[in-house]
Amino acid sequence: MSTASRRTRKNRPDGNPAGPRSARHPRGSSPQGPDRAQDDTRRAGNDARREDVRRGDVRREKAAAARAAEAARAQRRQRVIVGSVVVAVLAVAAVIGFAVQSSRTGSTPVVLPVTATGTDNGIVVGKADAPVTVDFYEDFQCPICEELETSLGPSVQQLIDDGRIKAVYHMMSFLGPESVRAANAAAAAAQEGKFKEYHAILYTNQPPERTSGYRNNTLTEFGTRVGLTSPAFTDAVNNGTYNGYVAKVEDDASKRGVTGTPTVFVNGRRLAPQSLTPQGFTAAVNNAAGTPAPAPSG
Amino acid sequence: MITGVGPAGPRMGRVLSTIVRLGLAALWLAAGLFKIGDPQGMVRSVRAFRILPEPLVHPVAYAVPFVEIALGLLLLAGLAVRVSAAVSALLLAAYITAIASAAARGLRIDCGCFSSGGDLTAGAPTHYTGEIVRDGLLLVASALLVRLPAGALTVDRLLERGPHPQAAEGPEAARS
Repeated sequence: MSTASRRTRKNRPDGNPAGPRSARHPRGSSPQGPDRAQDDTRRAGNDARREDVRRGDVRREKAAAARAAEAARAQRRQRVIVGSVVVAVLAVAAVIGFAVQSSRTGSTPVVLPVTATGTDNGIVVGKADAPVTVDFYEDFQCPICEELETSLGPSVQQLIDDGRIKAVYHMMSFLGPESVRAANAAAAAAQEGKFKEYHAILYTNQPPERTSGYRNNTLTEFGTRVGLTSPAFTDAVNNGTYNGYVAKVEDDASKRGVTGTPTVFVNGRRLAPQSLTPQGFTAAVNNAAGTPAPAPSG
Repeated sequence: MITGVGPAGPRMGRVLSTIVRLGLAALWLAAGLFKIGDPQGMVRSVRAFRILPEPLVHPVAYAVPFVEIALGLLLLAGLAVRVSAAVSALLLAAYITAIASAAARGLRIDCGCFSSGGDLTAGAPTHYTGEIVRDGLLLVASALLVRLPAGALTVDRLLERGPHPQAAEGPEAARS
């Protein structure tokens, strides 16, 4: 049906003799008969139309042009409507997306572990009055973080024990649900005052990336090994009590511009990757100790 | 309008338009579905570009995957192909601008831990170039679709067949 109508539209300009004439005359002829007789009397009122009727060719052309214009206008109108609908659909999708994702992410309550008193609720290990503050941003599932823990861990522990640094741990969790589970469990350990021990056992038993490691039963078993046997710890691991906290830490880290792990700040100053060795780290700490603690020297 | 072209021209154009349209549709759908499951990650990626002010980071990060999926569905259905293709081109242009500006400012968007190397400093430039080239090609495809919106299997064609010829010339054609 459409191909037929399209064909007639297409043919009309060159098919003029047959199509439009036969189409026009029936309509034109009914007023034309009587009009001829009373031509003079009615002329004053209707002369514009009559002129057109008399010059059939001109009228036909005009009609064809008008029809084409009308068709073009209708098509344009339809396009504008459909275009607006499409833009509206995209806008509605944006609004729905915002609503859906907000409700999905905003619902987890933030429960802070008692030792989460550092910058951006990082977990503090060490004396509060230590002259140097070191912020560690790490992900328990990140292999480079594990390498760093292996190489740097003893020096860090020594400096903490000597009261020279206060370590603030920001547990990031962007390497999948296993990262979140591990961070939640470590927060539960922090609540019980055994963060550092749990931190160590997580790295010692780090599963390969993207193998859905750090299952909850493994995590509670790690807890048992470091003396975390309370139901509070087990429940927190299994219920994801600190998931909201973990998400908050992740968010705050990205606000601070931390996009990768491990990232280390010594007294607010970001260490270059090549300084992440025992020597480089100790040097940075000594350097920072020479300057007043809060100064973010730059 | 469409009628002036020779018999081979529109057919080729229609086939090309259809292929480009369905390809872009699949890409947008995949891109959107890939991001939709990780709203937090999307927030971090948007923030990492450090282009948008913080109050806009969440709305944009949440909305973008849905807009991408909607765009994919619109292209798949072939509804207002020209408008959809223009929106597709605009989005890609915005992405390219964002990536290029991140590259120019020396930001490292990708996290060290995703790649096997995990080095904090290495690997960034090639990544950006690849992403810009990919998005650039998609932008060209979208522009092509703006030029050639008339393809097969589109809602647009159904609409054009439907009310429009009747309103314009249906009654007259019937009379002849």
